[in-house]
Formats: sequence, C-alpha cells, structure tokens
Amino acid sequence: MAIGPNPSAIYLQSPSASGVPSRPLNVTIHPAALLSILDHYLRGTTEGGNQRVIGTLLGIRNDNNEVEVRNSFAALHSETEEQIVVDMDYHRNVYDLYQKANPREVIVGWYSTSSELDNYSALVHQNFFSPETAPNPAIHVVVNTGVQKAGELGVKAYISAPIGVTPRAENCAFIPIPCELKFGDAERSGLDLLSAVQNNQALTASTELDVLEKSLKDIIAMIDRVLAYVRSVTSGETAGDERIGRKLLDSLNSSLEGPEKDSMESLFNSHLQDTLMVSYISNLVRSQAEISSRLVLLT
Amino acid sequence: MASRSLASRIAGTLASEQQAAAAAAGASSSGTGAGGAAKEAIPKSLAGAVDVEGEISIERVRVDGLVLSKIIKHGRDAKSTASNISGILLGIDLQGTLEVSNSFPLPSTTGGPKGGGDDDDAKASHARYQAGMLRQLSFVSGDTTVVGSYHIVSMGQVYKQTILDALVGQIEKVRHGGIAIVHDLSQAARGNASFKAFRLSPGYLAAHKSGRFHAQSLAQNSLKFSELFVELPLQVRTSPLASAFLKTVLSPAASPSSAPAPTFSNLALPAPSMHTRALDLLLDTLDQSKSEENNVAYQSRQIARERAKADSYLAKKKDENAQRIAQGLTPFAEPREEEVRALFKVPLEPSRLDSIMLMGQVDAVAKEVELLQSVEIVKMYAARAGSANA
Repeated sequence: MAIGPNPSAIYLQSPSASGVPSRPLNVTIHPAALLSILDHYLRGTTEGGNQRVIGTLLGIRNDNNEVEVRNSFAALHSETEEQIVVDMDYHRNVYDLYQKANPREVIVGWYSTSSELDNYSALVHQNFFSPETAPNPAIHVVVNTGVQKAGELGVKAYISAPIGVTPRAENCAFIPIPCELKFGDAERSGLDLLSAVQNNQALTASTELDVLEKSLKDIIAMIDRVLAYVRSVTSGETAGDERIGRKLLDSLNSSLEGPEKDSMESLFNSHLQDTLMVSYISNLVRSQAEISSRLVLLT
Repeated sequence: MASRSLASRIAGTLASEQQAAAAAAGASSSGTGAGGAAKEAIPKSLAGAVDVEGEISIERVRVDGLVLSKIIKHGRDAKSTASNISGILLGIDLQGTLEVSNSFPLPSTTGGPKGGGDDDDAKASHARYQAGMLRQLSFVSGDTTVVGSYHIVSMGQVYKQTILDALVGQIEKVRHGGIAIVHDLSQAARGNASFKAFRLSPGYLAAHKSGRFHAQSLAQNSLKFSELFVELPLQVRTSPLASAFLKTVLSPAASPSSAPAPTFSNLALPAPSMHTRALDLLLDTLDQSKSEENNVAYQSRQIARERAKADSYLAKKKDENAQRIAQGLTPFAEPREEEVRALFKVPLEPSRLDSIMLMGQVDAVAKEVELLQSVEIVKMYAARAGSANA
C-alpha cells in the first residue's frame, strides 16, 4: 500500500556489477517505525528551533532487494546556516542498545521530516549514514508531516547516486524508490484499532465475538452494495461493466464449491459435537477452579 | 504549583483539552482552595515539594498508539524465541489517568537453566540496558518515567509468574505500584488486537506486606486468583498528527487504488488441530496445578506430623509434672514455645501463592478455550448456511 499522494518513484532495475551489493528497489515501512518518527517530530521540533528532526532507520534487507524498515530512533543534530552536526557517538550508543533488544535489525538508512531535499540532506547522507550502512547503500526516507508547508503529507524514499565529475560529499542525486506501508494480519487489527479512535480515545474492550460480528456486518454491507449495483444494472439505470460482471461470476462460482450436502451435514454434526464437548469441558474446568480457590480460603 | 508544571512537562503528549483541564484543576486547588477534590490546599512554599498526583490513585490507563504498535511488533518479532517477552512502559500519571506515551522492549532472556552468577549478570546487564535507554530518551525530550511494563502472552495466560514478579518488583520503584499491560499473541493472530491493563489488588498488597502467603493470610485478605490483579480500563489515544496520517493512509476515500484490501482472516474456519492444541494446553496447566497441589499437601502433612510430635512431647511433660505434683515434688518449668520449636523444627506453612497462580492460569486457559469454541460455533453455522443454500 503506497503512502502519500501520486508516487513518482522510478521502478528501475539498475545494472549491478557482481560483488557489489545491489541497490534496494523497494522500501517497506512498519507502522511502529512511522509512528515513532511522527512522535519524534512532535517532541523534537519545540527544542532549539530545529525545523526538521532526523534519525536512524533500523530494519532488515531481504533477498529480493527489498528493505524492510522495522524500527527507528532519533538522532541528535543541530544545523545552522553554515554547518550541520550529527552526534554520532550518541547514535552508536543507542544503536548498541537497540541491537541488544533485537539483533536482527541493522541500520538501513535515515529519516528526516523536512519536506524537501537540500545540500544538508546530501551531506548527512554521504558523511554520516552511508559509512554506517556500507557496503550496502543507505536509504533516505523523507516524512512530510504536512505541517510546515502546504505540501501534502506522505512518505518518500530515496537512494543516492554520486553526481558530477569529481565526487563530492554535498553533491549527490537522490533517486526516488517505491515506498510502502507494510503490516501483517496481527498488525492490521492493531491499526484498525488506532484508526477507529474517535475523539482521541477509545476503549479496547472488544472480544473476539465482537470482531466477528463486525466482519459479518461488513460482509453484509458489501453484499448489499453488490446487490444494489446488480439491480441498477438489470433495471437499466447504469450501464453494466463486463469486468465487474466477470468478477462477480467468479466469486459466486467459487463460493458454491463445497462438499455434498449429506456429507456436509454429517461433518457438521460431528464437528459440532466436538466443539460443544470442548466448550462443556472448559466450562467444567472453570467452575472446578473457582470452587477450589474458594475452598483454599476456607481451610 | 505542581500540576501546572506537570502539565507543561507533558504538553507535547497531551491533547489540548486535557491541558486546559489540568491547568484549571491546578488553578482551583491552589487559588481559592475551594476545589471539590478531597485534598487540602497546599501552602505555596511547599507546592514544589509536595507530590499532588501521588495521592490520586490510577483509575484508567490511556495508551498511545505508538506504544500499541511497538508492542504488537515486539510480539511478532519475538514470536518463537523466548518465553518471557516483555518491555518497559514510560509515561506519566495525571488526574487518575496513567498516560503511557512510550515503551521499549527488554532483551529477551534466554530460557536456559538459571545459574546464580548468570542470573546476577543478566540482572546487571538488564539494569544497564534500561538506564541507557532512559538516558537516550531524555536526550530527545521523551518521557523517562517508568510507569509499568508490558508482557506478551499467549492463550490468555495472564497469571504468569513473570508478570507477577515484574509487578512486585515495581511496587517500591514505581509510583502507585505500576501497571502491567498484557498483549495476547494468540488472539492477535486471529485478528483481534487484545490489550489489557492490570495492577496488583489491595488484597495482594496487604498479603505481600505481611510477607506470607499461607492459607490464613489468604483468607484474611480473601485472595482468590480472580482478585490478584485489578483490571484497569484501557483507552487508546493517538496524536492528532498520527491520526491524520493514519486516516489519510488507511481511508479508501482518499486514495481508492492504494487502500488496503479488507482482510477477513478472522472469518476462516480454524483447523481441527486447534481443538487438540487448546485441550493439550489445558491439560498441561491442570497437571502443573495438580503437582503443585500435591506439593502443598505433602508439606501440610509434614507440618501435621511435626506438630503432632511436638504436641505429644508437651502432653508428656504435662503428665510428668502432674505426677510430680501428686507425689508432692516441685514441678518442672513448662517447656517454652521456642524450645519446642527448636526441638522439632515444625516447617513454616507452605506459600499458597503458586497454587493460586496456577489455578488462575487454568481458569484463564479454560476461558480462552471457551471463547474459541463460541466463535467457532458461530462460524460453523455460517458455513452450513452457506452450503445449505447451494
């Protein structure tokens, strides 16, 4: 899933010489990393008048030239008109700490929250973070918070390429690469929780049955939508789209496949008995546990 | 004025209406002294030294979205490696609400046999790690107050020794005794992010203070497994910036092509092996609980035996004395309680804490199994309805 408006990333496989680590082609960002970048931005901008905050990205490099950004931590830096300083001692100390907690995650690049790339971006990239990730190229992720300027909020990822006849630190081209938000099923439910937050707070007392009910309601709503569409097509209000029709036919066909009715019935009954039995046993165990804990108090 | 300075310290993390409320509360308590709160007005000279918040007990926990996603990530990363997956929660308590604004994972402890020296080493390195993490957060103006810990469990096993240990360890260090947030991995895998916040119950604290968990002290504090922990209501908050980001990224309206496809993994029928696994776990827990029960019974028998010996010794002494009096001799001095104890070594009453915890685990697992079944029955009927219409 892309983050941010109209990605202008180039999907190119650059010819790579053998022996040299190939360039990352794709960046995925974990929600936890994104949220901690935003948190850092909220906390960091008030101090010292820094317009942007920068920090280190931790993650894993996959075999298929994909960089998974799993985590991030803040870096200390100060910039003036003349110079930019990044506290690398601090950076290394923190990196050591993060390594202890999760040894698999290594430095893959850095982030900044400025909306544009400038000379300092190139300097920081070439001088501070490229050596950290060598021999792999460092990636640079720009998080536009949509606060400073009129720019739209979004996340962009870049890799750098040297530019000019004689390579110099402040000269490099940032090449955009595709960047996506990535999460598993478990994280999906957590994100749903976060995006469902109303008025800045919500109670999380939902049981599994609640979640099931919600999914069923979602499906019913979807079926209603499809039904409304089909009706409007058959009544001639809207012109039918063949592609949608085919998709509908496919999904209807697939959903009808299943065991024969008789065997289904016997399967269902035997399974239902199992389920009810397990449920009964667990209930029994619970009441026994309750009785036992009360008896302990009596002795 | 303590609450205003508190409010300004966490200004970065709190919603504006919260700040206003805090400032208003602070103004009313120190200005006119007519605040409805039970606490007395604090003299201006002492205001800096007195901890106003310390007296308000925690009633609810509000967790930042960042923390939730970090916990979920930690749970996913460490899925198979260690038995004890936990981390530290950072934040601040304000007006009865514990704001958890950040967290960091603790390095997983290797599950090997615990040697004495190794354990100390691990403890020291843990402490170093924690101090280092707190220091690095203070540099980037994050919250550095430890308010509790989070634990990642599976199958609803809230009553784990590690969680209790962590909470007990926090009693002295953390104001209000700290909290524990428990995240259930097996529920998360089924598409339901489950988080629960707990603290130790007053009954447990009282029993802990007396230092003994034998049957009598349990009865005094009426401590059952269901009353070891108090569950606190848990709320989620995200910073406006983060929620704007999430709304933009996740809502289908903004970018129809890039919106994530809805997942219906929680509608899939579970594999039949799920029953066996759930029941296996239940049996294991029951076995553990049974062996602990036997342990306690053995110790109780030991106590009864020694007690009987001591009693018969005392009775013998008494008989002798009675005889001597009948013969007109001066009786021996009554043997004192300490002497008898030194003579027979009656063991102390066994701690029932472990058996309570195990009973709690049995209950939690059974509850989880029950929940699984209830969900499954719904799904089965749904599947039959789908095929019956075919």
